[in-house]
Amino acid sequence: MSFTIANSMEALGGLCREVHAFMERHSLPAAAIYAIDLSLEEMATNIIKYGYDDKQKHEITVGLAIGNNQIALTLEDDGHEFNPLDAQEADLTTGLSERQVGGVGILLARSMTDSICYVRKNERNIVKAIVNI
Amino acid sequence: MELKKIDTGEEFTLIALSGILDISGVQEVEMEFSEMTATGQSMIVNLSEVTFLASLGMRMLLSAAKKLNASGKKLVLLSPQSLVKLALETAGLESIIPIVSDLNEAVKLIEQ
Repeated sequence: MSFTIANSMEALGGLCREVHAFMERHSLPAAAIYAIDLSLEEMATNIIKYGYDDKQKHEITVGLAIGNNQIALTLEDDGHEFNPLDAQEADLTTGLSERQVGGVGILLARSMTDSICYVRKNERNIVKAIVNI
Repeated sequence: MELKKIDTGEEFTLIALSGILDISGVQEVEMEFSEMTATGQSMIVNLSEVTFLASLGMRMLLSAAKKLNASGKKLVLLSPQSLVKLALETAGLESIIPIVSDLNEAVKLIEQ
């Protein structure tokens, strides 16, 4: 299935719920649903926050494919060359008062999925996350 | 996403969050959650009914923990579900915010 949303957190919030409901209807394993839910939230948030140079409305295309014992989540956008997997690198060794708020999204996505990769093609950024089921 | 006030005693406030703590969920509860941390009391957050948590939800919890810590108070997380706990551990939060599975343990940590 495929969706297109505007590059806003509000639109993303609604999409996250829709994708979650879709996966539940397909009775997928809870851990896999969690991993896809999280990857969508984290990667799309990074695209929205860091992927564009202007204040214009852009579209992000989200694809979800279930088959071959895996769930594949694909995000595609037309922002500047930007790998949402790059951003951030929080230091997890600091104490509470020094700990940086934020910067763990991609770490979480990488850790919970079986693979995540990025490619730039035809002026578009494409990120694909795969969770085996 | 729901926030329930369970107990506001002299030593601490006990609240329970329930539902999906995703982008929409955080938006629904963050104001009320923030107000609860402004009471100046340590806080125990029962997460047993939270089915999802990602970095935005963790931001909300971490900001609260920092705020409380700055005034010598504590935030303790109680009984997260296994996937939520895994996410908290992966994000390195369990080393700075205590996560326990028993209310008595949480209370003891606060009284220390």
